[in-house]
Amino acid sequence: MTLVQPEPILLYHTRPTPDDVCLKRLIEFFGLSCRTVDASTFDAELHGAAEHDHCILASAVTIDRWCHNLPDRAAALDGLRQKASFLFLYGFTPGKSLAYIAGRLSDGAIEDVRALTGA
Amino acid sequence: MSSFEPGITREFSGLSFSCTRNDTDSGFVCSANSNGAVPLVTIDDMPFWVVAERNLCKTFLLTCSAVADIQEQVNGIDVGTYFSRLLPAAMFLRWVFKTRCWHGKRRFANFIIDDPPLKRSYGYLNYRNLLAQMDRCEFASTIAFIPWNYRRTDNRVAQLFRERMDRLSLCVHGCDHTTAEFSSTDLAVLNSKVQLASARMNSLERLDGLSYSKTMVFPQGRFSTGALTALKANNYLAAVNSSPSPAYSGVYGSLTVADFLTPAVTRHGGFPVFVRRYPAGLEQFAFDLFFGKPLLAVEHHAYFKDGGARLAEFVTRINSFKKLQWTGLHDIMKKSYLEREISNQITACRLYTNHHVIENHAERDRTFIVTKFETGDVPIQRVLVNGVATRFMMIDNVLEFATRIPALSSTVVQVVYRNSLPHAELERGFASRSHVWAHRMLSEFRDNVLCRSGFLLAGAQALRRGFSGHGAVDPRQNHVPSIVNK
Repeated sequence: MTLVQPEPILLYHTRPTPDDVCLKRLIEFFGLSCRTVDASTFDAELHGAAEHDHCILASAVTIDRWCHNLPDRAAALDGLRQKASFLFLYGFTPGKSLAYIAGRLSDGAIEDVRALTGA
Repeated sequence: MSSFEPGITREFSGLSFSCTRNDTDSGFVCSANSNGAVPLVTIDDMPFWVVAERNLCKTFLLTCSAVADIQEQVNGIDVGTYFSRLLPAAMFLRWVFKTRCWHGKRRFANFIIDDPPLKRSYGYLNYRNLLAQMDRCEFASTIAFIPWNYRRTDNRVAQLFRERMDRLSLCVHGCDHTTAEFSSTDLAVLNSKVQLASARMNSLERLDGLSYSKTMVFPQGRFSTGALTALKANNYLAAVNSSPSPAYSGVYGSLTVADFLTPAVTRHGGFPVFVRRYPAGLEQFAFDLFFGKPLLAVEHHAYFKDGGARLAEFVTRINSFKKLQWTGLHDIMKKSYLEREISNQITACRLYTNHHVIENHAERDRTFIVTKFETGDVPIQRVLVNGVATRFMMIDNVLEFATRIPALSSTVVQVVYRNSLPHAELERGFASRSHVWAHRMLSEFRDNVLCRSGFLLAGAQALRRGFSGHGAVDPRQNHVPSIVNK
């Protein structure tokens, strides 16, 4: 019996950024259909989903904006992991807000994000 | 690259190479207690891509702030430059969606040696030594054979090739191997050149019992889009070249990143050009294997100057890739296709050459929806499935048909083209033949005599500097003087 994985969902905020568009192209290049979801409707999407039912790709900034206005960021991030089976988040640049998200989603394993100093 | 999650990092597991792009990349600072988070990629000892698992959710966190645009126009892909913007996302998708992604089932490899005639030795290359080394190190080679040499074969070497087809094979390297002979834009000349090369190779097959792959390696790597059309019209399988870009792309436009992420570039008239590489960092070959390309390495006789030590070291490193199959170029061309699972019963299959063996690895019968990019510049005469003509459709430059393949068996698919290209009378007069003969003899003198003598080599280089006004020598040729072009 083949395990059927969920189709990838690309989450964006307000409108897909150029990098979101590139990620969508890459997903489709592999022969996969890609559903795009605006962060403003994402809560409803998550609410209706079974646990560990989603494969979600997004930029760290999108996740930051999505949970920024929610009353409990930590609970939102935990809920995200509750509903998703796979999460791919890119673009963790230095800054407290994104470092917090990385920390929360890694159960505290990630403490900070820093610029690379090597040549 | 971490080797803890080889299912995710695949061919790149355990590799180290330069890939920093400071403008888009950052590093994570991790606590001493990792809580199950595993760094998949580190840059300068800082985790750059991390996977964390909790309950039934795997979370992949990447610092890179950009994603590669696969529609970007490029001349080639340097893995170090594109890695952070491309590979983590691609690895994630391949790992999560597995057979639902386009993928190749096999990992092929071949070491191509350009130019040598089938004589006991040529320059630093000795066939018996090569064979012994192939047996010792576990690899296979293809000789890119110059058709002009078809009547100059040593019987003992021919016997070696006949007896050891598991290690040694032949493909076509130009026709006369004169300067840029396949750069012409004259379709009639190109068509006749391809036919002359084929006739010579067929004679070699008839006279010496040596089969060959209808795969073209262009002399000096130079070719035109017309050359690809001529090869297609003559039912060649493919071309293999260091660069997939013709001298002038014309109406086909520039290549994009996406063109380099498939087994072969087919943009130019739908004829496949497979990319080969000189021995270099493993990451370049890991990149090829990751995207379902065969691992094709190339060198000339001078690479054997050290008795094969460099080659042995290179092959040992290459053989660290798991499940690598070294085989002849012909076999590789026929089995390098992509597939993806649509359902338990249906597989999509994307062909590149005109002759494929499609394998159903499943323990149940499957229907394969077969597609192949076609531009219509060379008419299709028929499509054969196991030798029987089959119906096909053309939809938006894509040839498509379906075939059912029983469990654990294979099907042979051939696309036969009609050659309606014009012909030209090639110059075969005394002057022309003498020119080609002199060109070939000078090449062999260079490889057999000059290259093997430090004194003569230095003299030839000095002479060349004197004539040309510069002393630049292609480092790939291992200081071979360019009396004639390789």
